[in-house]
Amino acid sequence: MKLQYLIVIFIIIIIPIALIFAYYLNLQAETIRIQTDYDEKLQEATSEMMEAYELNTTEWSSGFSALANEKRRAILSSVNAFTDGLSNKLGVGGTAKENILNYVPAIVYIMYDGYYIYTPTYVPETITDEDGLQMFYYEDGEVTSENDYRFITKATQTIEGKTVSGKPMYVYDSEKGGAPEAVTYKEDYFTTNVDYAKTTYKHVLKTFVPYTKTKEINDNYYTINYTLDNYIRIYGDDVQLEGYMYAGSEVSKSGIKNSETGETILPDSYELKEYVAFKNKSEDPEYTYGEYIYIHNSNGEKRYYDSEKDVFFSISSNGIRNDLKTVRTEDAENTIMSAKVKSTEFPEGKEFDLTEEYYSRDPNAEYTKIVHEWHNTSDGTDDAKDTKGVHYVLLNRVYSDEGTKRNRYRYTLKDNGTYVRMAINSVEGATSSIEVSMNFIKMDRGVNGFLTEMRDFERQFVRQILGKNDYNITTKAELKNIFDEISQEKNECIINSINENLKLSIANYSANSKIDYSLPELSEEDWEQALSNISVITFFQGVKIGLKTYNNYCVVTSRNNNEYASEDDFYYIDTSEKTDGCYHQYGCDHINKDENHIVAYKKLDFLIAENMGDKNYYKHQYNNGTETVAYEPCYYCVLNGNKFTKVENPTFGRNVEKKCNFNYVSAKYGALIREKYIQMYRTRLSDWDTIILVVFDANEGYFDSTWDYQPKTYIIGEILGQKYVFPTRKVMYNGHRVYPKWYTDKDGGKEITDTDRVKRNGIQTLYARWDE
Amino acid sequence: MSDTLITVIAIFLAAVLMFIFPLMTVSNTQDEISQVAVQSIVAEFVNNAASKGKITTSDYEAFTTKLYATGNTYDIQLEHKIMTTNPNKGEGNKAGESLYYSEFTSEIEQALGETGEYKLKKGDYIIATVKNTNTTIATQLKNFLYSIVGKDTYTIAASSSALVVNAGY
Repeated sequence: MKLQYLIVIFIIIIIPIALIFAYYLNLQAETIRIQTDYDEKLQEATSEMMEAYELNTTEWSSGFSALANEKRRAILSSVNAFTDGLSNKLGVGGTAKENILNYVPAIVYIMYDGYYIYTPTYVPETITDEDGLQMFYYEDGEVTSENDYRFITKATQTIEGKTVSGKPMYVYDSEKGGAPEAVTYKEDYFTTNVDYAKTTYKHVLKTFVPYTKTKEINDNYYTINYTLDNYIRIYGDDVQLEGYMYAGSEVSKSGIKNSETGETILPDSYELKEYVAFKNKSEDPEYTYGEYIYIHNSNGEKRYYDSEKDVFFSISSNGIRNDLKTVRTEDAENTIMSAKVKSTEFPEGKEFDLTEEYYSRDPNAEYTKIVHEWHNTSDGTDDAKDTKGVHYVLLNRVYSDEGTKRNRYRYTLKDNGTYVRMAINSVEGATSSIEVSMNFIKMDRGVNGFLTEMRDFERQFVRQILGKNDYNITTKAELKNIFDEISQEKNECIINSINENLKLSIANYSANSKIDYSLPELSEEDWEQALSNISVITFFQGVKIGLKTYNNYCVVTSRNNNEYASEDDFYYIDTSEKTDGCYHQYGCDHINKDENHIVAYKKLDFLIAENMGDKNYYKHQYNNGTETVAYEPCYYCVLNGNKFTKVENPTFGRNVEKKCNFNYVSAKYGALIREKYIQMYRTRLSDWDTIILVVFDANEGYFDSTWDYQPKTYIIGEILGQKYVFPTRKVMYNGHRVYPKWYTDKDGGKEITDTDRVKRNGIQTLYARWDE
Repeated sequence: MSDTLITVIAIFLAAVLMFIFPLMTVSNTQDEISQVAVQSIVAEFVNNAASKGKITTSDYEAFTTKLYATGNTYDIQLEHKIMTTNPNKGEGNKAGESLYYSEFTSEIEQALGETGEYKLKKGDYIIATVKNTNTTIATQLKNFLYSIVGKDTYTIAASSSALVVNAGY
């Protein structure tokens, strides 16, 4: 054969093969390209989701609603932002956006002390009948008539003026037309038994799961609650501890030192103020405006302080002002009172009696009465102010009471901050017990600051929880080991908990789709990033790209939120004599890190000092008393980021704690503790030491009231040492409504006016009198 | 006779191999490059607008110039999803939860023509979609083998969106 024949045949054979190869390679390249494209889009959509969450919680948060609802709402909105963003980027528009959620098996929100998962699950379909009873659609509901049941309109129908609920009785047939005809259904077409309910498959935000772990030690169960930083809570039968685990020694240098006595004084906290508008009563036509100091209580709600009336108030979502901290007989169902008493001074190491007397709210009784008195039993004196300069801060006290009883307890305070309570006598007829829970944290005004208490907390924790009864922490190295072990345990607990729940979600998800999906394993760097701050992990699976299906996840961490303070929110300074006079960022190598003098302060504290010569110095607000020391920014880390070198030979850190010198880590926790407890100690609340209840007796009249009965007494919790606050309700007598004058006795006695101060005399009763 | 037939086939194959195939390959590659470039141009425009908080005339003109520099004509569609701040819809407003209404290309271009700027606010979305309207060389070559008919056929398309975090005023 001629050469041309061969060539032509060769070409005819090769061309299709080459075409097919080219097509296949093209497809591979295309798959990789689309995968990178989707990765980028997923990353962008997740970042937008975090941005939306930050916007919602830091800038647009409403301070009025309960904290849990607010969080869920913010999270659901940011999930919406995610689906919107992802569908816009993929070019999916209109109603097809909801289909994007079919490809999202789970979204995990990692918060400070727990996490949320947004995942599809089976949710029963419900209706509500006229009585508000929730009923479920019965899975096997049948229709016994021949009519077409597609046109059932609602489950409650009005038939001849009567409302029939739960059982639709009329059905409209489109083919037959005319009026709806009666139909009999099986009786349990709607059921209240959720096991028989018909379920739909949709995405829901599951309930909050905290990072907890339960341990059993000697037949006692303890629950440990972890958080993203070192704050730990332990609950058990006989123990309730919470606090920061701290292993440093330099918290004391946070105050202003008196150079003569050497005493360190804790600084004042700054006051937060806000300009608000409210109405005193809902019928008021106009709003009252004012600028008030506010604090956040333990639920995160805002409480404003009115300095004229010396009372705290909150503003409801309707703008109505609601004063707190007064006990009114006609308002309280039972005497549930929650008082936050701060800075009560207890004698150290001595036994004392804490008398708490309760009477019930009985409409026929005279009044309710709550007394707090602290007696120093060993001295026999009444004065509980006999201290040695040690302040015990009572974190919270919650108690409730039902029935008439009087309980006296003897509290023995130990120097490690816990107490032992013994009931001395109780009156029969008591039907329920009082729960009193108090957390004592000893704050020593001396040099050691918070050190003593935190070490004791760790000692207790270690002994009871880790089961190491002989652990005697005396050296810093031992503390550091404990620190490390507990950190590692905490991280394992958090990661295991999240993984377990994720596996369940993805198993649910793959049971509902045609292909089996498996959970992608998050690498250690991913977990390190995720647990360093509030973050979100999104999974995106199932889209067909080229030769395979897409399956990937994305982790985005928030940098700007108001729930978590990370190590980058502080500046670190060296307070020893060999200081270089500069403030540094976390982990900078140019600090004198071998000595234990690194202290951290929040960035807000660094203000520009006056011009010292030609330069502006950033001076730390809490200096050590001498005016000439001011801190400059470190050239290597703060001023010029290029030259930042991390500390060499990092000596601490496992898993998710950023590897760094241990002194830096302990400085950071010292700053966190200091900020938390200083705020609490030095706000206006700390000036109370007790609440004296004063009974205002209406004498021969009665107080104006919206209730059916006429109260003859009115109780106000007055603060010891402050001015009296009189009731705002008028007294009715002989048809007149007046503000009476208050005397210490029914006849005679002394008048108590605005200028008198509340004294510690136990219960006081003041009687009303008015001029005729 | 068979000699001639083979020769004709050989010439035909040679023509296809030496002219048509390279042309098709190169124009396909050209289309893919345009696609990547258009994708990044649109993403840059949208992210720029979202971080600045407004669309200015110069931005928009630079955007269109870059698009046309790829050698094709495009149909640009912008959508601005505005978050409503209706206080009757509950307390506060959340990004992603509230109702959105949209303004489209013609209104945006009109505002750009009048004032030179189109302002965006926080929580809004800005979406840009770009499709080509001419027939590229690769498409013409493919039409020899098979043709795709229809009004909205395109080969190069890109779409991008962003959430606005800074208001432009």
